Amino acid sequence: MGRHMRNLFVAGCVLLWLLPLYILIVNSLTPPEEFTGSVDWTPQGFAFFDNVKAAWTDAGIGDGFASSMLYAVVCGGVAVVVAAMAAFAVIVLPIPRPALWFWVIFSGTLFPLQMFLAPLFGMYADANLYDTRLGLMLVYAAWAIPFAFFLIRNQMTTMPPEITEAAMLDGASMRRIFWRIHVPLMRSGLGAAFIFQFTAVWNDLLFGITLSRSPEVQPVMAALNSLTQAYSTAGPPVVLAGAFIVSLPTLLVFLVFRGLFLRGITASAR
Amino acid sequence: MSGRHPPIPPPTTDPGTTTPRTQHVDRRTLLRVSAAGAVATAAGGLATACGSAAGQGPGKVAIHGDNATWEAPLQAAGKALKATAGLQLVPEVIPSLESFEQIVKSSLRTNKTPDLLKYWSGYRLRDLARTGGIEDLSEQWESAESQGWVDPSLREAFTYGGRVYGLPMNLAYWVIFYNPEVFAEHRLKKPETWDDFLTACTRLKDNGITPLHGTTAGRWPAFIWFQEILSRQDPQFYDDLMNGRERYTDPRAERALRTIAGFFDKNWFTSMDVDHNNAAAAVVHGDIGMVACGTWLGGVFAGAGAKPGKTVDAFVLPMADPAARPCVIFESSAFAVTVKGPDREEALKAAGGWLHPEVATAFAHGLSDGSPNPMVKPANAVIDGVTRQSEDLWLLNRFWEQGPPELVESTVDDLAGMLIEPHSYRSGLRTMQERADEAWKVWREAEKS
Amino acid sequence: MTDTVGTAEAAKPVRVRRRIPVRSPHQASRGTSTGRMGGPFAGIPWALPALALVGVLLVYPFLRSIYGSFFEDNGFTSSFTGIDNYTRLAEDPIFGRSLLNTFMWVAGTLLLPVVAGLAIAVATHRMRRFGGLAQLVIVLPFAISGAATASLWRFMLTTDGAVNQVLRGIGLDSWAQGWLLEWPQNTISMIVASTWQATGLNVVLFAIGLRAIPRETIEAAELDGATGWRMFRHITLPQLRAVTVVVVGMAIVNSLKAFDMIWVLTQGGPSRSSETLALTMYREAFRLFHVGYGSAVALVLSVIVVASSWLYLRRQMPGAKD
Repeated sequence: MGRHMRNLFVAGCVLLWLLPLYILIVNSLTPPEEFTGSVDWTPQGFAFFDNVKAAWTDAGIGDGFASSMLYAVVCGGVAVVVAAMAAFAVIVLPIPRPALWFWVIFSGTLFPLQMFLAPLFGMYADANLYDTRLGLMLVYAAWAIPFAFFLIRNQMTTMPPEITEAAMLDGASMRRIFWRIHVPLMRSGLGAAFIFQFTAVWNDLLFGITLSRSPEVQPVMAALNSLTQAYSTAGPPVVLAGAFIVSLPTLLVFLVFRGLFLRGITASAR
Repeated sequence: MSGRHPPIPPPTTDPGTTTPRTQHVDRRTLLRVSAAGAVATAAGGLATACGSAAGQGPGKVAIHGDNATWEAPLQAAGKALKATAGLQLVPEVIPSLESFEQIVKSSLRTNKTPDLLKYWSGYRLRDLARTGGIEDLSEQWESAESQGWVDPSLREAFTYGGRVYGLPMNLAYWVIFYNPEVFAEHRLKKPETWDDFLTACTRLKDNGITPLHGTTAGRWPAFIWFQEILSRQDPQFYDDLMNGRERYTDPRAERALRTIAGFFDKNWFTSMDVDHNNAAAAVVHGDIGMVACGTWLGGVFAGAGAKPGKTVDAFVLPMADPAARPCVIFESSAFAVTVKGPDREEALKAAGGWLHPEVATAFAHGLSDGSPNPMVKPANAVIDGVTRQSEDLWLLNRFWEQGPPELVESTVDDLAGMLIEPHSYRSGLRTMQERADEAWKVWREAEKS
Repeated sequence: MTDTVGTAEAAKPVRVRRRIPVRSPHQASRGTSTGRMGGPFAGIPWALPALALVGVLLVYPFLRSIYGSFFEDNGFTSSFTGIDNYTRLAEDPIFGRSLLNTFMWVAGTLLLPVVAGLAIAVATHRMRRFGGLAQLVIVLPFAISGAATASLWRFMLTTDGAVNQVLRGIGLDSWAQGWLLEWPQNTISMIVASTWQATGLNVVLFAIGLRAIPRETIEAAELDGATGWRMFRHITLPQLRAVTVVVVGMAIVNSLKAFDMIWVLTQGGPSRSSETLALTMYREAFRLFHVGYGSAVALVLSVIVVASSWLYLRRQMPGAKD
């Protein structure tokens, strides 16, 4: 593929990807009363902040924002640590039938999410976890583990066993080897797993609407969802502005950490 | 959910929340004559006992709804209820219809159930009542009716086996929204006869405006035009068909769909993927002529910058058969009390006060929609006009609430198929009838047991 | 996922020196050091927290749903019906459509976001300034939630939407159509919409893999005269294997479970034409309260997901052969 072809291909892709983003931004600028019911191609005024405010108050996004931040940070973090420990167990430590352990833990990401909802609801009602922050955090942590485990495990297989062996010769305990050698060496991989799981928890809707109901507990996507319901009175520009504003934290995490973990990875690979 | 939960035990087996009927009647009598304080002392001890567990504190009851836009109106009604009955409503909204239903159904048998529910009327309420999970509110209804607080013709929609299981919350009429300015520009007036309506469609079309909004977006709206046309051509047949006494393969059902197919042939409809919020905006801006919906769409119009009476107004679709009994479709949500809710006593008390004119006014005005209490003044000009127009009309319940819920869930998909291919109605109706045969059989069997 | 675990047979044409021993899995040394590591069961306490959380909150509810699929359950009462739910499934005409749509999603997702992700990653790999920026633009949609993406794509795909306006604008009036209204366009256009969202992640993962290819490998291959397509086919691709496993594995799982986008854009309609198994299951269990039947659909879906992941990962996954 010639250089020009390549540049053309990349430019074309970027344009294709930018178009929907452009439409998202332009239409979330339109004041709701100016919106004609079909897509705008040029800005029809600048009501972005009014729209955000309308979405924020109509849907009560504020409460959900704080809750979701808690869930995404804590559960993403817990899941990465727990998954890293499990990966350590399956790859480095002796354990009977490592493949079975792998498949049981990994299976959590294979089953369709909808399958868990009804039984979970019953369990949560019985255990007094329904509509509590703890309940949601538990399920988010559990849900975030399998894929983090998959990523971290794959990365851990690439670490030379000599490292572990050398540390053991020095008399280090397994706990020390894990925290002082594996975790720092896999920093970038763990960071990537955390970002993915942060995003996944932040964007969850189904667990949120099934296992909680009070505004203090509900995650932000559940709040946003009320804007797109049948009886909602919010106009499309408000919906888009709301969608944009709740995407900001994940966008920021990506922008901030992307360079960081890319650099980390290339450094460790050279 | 998956086979492990036993059927709901009879309410008396739960000592924590159940009180004998007699005491209940006492409290109701008390309620009628007393001011807030008196009731609070009479039931105070009990309420505290109930309220302490998982529910709201004494003097507060949680109401569970699926609709975020109802939160503020419910709060307003709660304020009025506090003044009239000493009880505060705490709205809790589940912002997804699917999980709302799921949560209601799976929580009714646990003590995690909310005290009060906003539910659908008609067969959906009957379906819920059949589980034994919600309270009989016949006394509350009769008390309200004797004081003129509720339109008696709504009773049927909230009744199962001769008992009332819910009180009406709102009363929305199904109407056609239009833009009076656009109509005036094309020398059209608010349609009063079927011919007026057809004339308006033709003239709007000639002037480059898509006359009618129809949609399958969001799935459920597929029933709208079938409901509207069928009930205007033969309201008796609509009522009978919806209650399983007539068949979808009847020539009268076919005629309704043929009429709709005729509208398609004249290109009167928008494409079937325009949702209601976009359609409302397009009516205000003069791109779409008319949108059929419940009066609750008024809130969407307000959000789209419409001015009631100027750039938006509504009319009840005129009768296509002038000889038939004039009718309008209504939609009303049920205020239901759960059997196992933690603050059941207070919830029953709240039900007793729900239709009080002050409470009903606060709610209807907060919602900007119609009220089941005829003493409530209409919330705005559009509602006023529609309410006047509907005064002597036969109130028929909406398609969504009619017939076994499971049947409705499938037939809206069949109707969507007929909106995509308007001339496939014969085979579509046959499928619908096959479903209806089975669903009604199941429903009636369940009714017997 | 970040390093080069290409195995000997994959890299055959140009023999590559490797920093990491192929022998890999660390448990190879288990025999000698088991004692020092704390006995043959030393790993169990480390894996237990993950197992407990996943087991109690995901696997157990899953098994309970399976158990429920042998019952007729309307949400209140239930009775044992054996495999009735499964025989009904086989006769349901919607199930066939739903299965077909599900496979279209899998094929489409493997074809579009994976191949496009690889192509974009390779094309932008050596670009100096513009490359990183291009990757950034393409990854942005990944950060936007599924529900929000779907609201946006409604603007794109409706009959009066942006796509048709563009088509009419460039004179392709006859191509403009109701993208969401008819099968198979509705399924295809939703796959395209999810491509927009999912490709960025794949680009990032492939880019990471590309950077991890040791320079010596490339140089050695160049000395052997490998360029262009041959270089890509025999050097780059094998070296990307660890990343490819993750990307393809994810693509299979996510495409089988595709839900959010379809739910918001069409709810599986019109007239159930765009339903996938995930949608059918949700609809049966949560709209119609055929809980047992819904669980049966879910089981079929789970079997497909687990089987295809297992078939794929069993062979491909680094260190999974023991």
